[in-house]
Amino acid sequence: MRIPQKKLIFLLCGATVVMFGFSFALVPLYTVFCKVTGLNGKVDIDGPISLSRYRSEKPDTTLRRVTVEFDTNRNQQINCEFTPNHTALQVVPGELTHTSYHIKNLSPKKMTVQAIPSISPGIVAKHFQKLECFCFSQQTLEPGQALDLPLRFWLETELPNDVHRLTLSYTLFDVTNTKENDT
Amino acid sequence: MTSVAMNIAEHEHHTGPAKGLTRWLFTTNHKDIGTLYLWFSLTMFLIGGAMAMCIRAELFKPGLQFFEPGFFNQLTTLHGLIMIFGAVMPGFVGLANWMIPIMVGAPDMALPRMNNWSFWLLPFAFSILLSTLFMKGPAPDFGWTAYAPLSTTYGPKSTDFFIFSIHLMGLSSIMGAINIIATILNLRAPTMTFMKMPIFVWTWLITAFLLIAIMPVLAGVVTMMLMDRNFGTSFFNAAGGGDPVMYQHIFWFFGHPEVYVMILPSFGIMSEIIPTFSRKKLFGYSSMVYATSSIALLSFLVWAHHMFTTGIPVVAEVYFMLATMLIAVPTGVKVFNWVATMFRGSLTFEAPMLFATAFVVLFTIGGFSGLMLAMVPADYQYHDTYFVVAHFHYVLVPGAIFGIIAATYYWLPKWTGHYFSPILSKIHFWLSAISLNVLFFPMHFLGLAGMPRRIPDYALEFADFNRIASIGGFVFGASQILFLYIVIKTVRGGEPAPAKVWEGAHGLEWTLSSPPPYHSFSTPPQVD
Repeated sequence: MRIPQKKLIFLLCGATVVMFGFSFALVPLYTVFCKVTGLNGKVDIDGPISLSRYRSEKPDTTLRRVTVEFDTNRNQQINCEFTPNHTALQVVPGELTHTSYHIKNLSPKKMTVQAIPSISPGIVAKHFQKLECFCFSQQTLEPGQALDLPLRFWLETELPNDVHRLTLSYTLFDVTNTKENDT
Repeated sequence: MTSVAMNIAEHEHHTGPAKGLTRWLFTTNHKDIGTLYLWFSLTMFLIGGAMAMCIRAELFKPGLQFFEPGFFNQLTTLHGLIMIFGAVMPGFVGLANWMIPIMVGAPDMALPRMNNWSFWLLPFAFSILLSTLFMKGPAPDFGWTAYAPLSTTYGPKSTDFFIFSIHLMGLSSIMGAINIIATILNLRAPTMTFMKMPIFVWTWLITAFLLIAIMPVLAGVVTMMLMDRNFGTSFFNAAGGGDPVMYQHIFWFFGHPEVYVMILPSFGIMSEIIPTFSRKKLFGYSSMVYATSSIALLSFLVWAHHMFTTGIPVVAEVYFMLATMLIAVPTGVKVFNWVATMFRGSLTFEAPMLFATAFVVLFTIGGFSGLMLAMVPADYQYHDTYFVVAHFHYVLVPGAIFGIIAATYYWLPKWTGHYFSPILSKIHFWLSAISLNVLFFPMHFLGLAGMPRRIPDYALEFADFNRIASIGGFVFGASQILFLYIVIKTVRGGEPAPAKVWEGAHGLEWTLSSPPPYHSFSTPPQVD
């Protein structure tokens, strides 16, 4: 097996370029993989699920209730208050639930923040649907300004029966210096 | 006309090396470039070793003696990077450059000019990396794995220098790998079929394919790091929709095959040395080839065993645990083949054989601690402790480093034309082999007792074992100075070596004089 030299070098260089591209292709692949399998507890923050999707939800027949706990963190201890208005709720799968979070800018400067959700156990993430969430956009707060941020979600009735308790955790990031649209 | 043609022919056949420094700067000769690689590797080994001595001095007793914790982190980071990319990989590439053409009966490497370039990138890459030590602000201090966000959000300014030096090293490795593949596939003597190739050539062929598959991925991941740091992207930044854990996935997709890059050529070296000094043929040649290939393939499927504690689901943990344990099967095949080669052989224990025997025993110990680490429930205890440090030093020092040292002793008489001192080399071996165990074996106990890695200070109960390890470390370090002395002494003179340096040796390299002529195998040899 002798491949002509030029062709061989071309193939090997090609393989190098392909593998370099592959390392970048791993980024979307990883995201898709996490979304499909619900690994990592990654929740969609691209935008709300449509109301019609919620209306097509079949009613839950198991009479179960699931405890949803709400948890907040501030990345790098940024200077603001960020707390859930309810720490836990009993939720019926398939029913829309409304809750809210409290946020207050304690710093003397205008601040833009972005909340990133994460669900534990991770496998539940794909059954957690949000009709309205403050994590879909960034929030800009004047110094001292306080806001109540709404969250409307439902748990799909396909949620596995052995899930009795789950935690929705938000981490708040300061994105003042990297915000998407400077206004 | 005829006289001109004859002149050219004469010129081609009788050119020796050029004189002076430019010989090394412009050389395209595989033997010269191999020598450069090997000296570079030894230099880096001593620099990285000096850093290890600093680390062991700091850990000699509890409390902070010499360094601030920040500088200690820089030492562990640079020690890892220099040993992996500066000592082990160039060492193996140097051996490949020297030996592969004369083992397959080729006149030179397939791409001699690129060969020159791929070597000369390295001094620049490592000057950039080492210069970070002298910069204002810390040198890279996040460990050789450079996990995000330690290297992105929290990385020191010098991280950008680290990134570019990794790019250069990657470029050098990839070019070296392309060259090796082209040489093996296209320049073999026509009668040398694949299954007649020396096993060292086989293992390097497989390693070169691994390098082409993984070095671009490392280049990609550090490029993402560069973009996150400087161009506002969010590959690994959760605030912008990225994921820091993804860094670990991409990094270990490179990182796990990388550990086989550092061991497969060593397997090849041992499979050359053990038959020579057992005066028997290698037991199970073809199973060695298949085992090496399956180790290489499996290495792509096990990366997340480095990440059991990142919160990946149990199903994935079970898969990665079982896939990892599967690698023990082909590795076991190789170990049993070496033992079977020695079985009932007429063994003599010259320095290369001593190192090879120690390799078989000590690498197996490292392999077993790897199996222990592969078990998910146990890994939760071992993770990021000194047990991990003990494991990877047991596979890398008696594995990769002993491989390079054994190969140096094995082929040094061929390269220089002189035998090395048998007594000094045996002293070097016994000092190294004993001090290595004094150095690394207590680390198992430290890890099991819960001492974390990458810390400059520790609780009092770890003091005794750390002191033992440090003493072993200093002896091990000092005995490598002896190695340097032996090599220099052999280069300068010694008992002249015949073409066939070792009486039990087989292969094309032993048909050439010692040292071999500057240009060898201008006409391909016949292989039976």
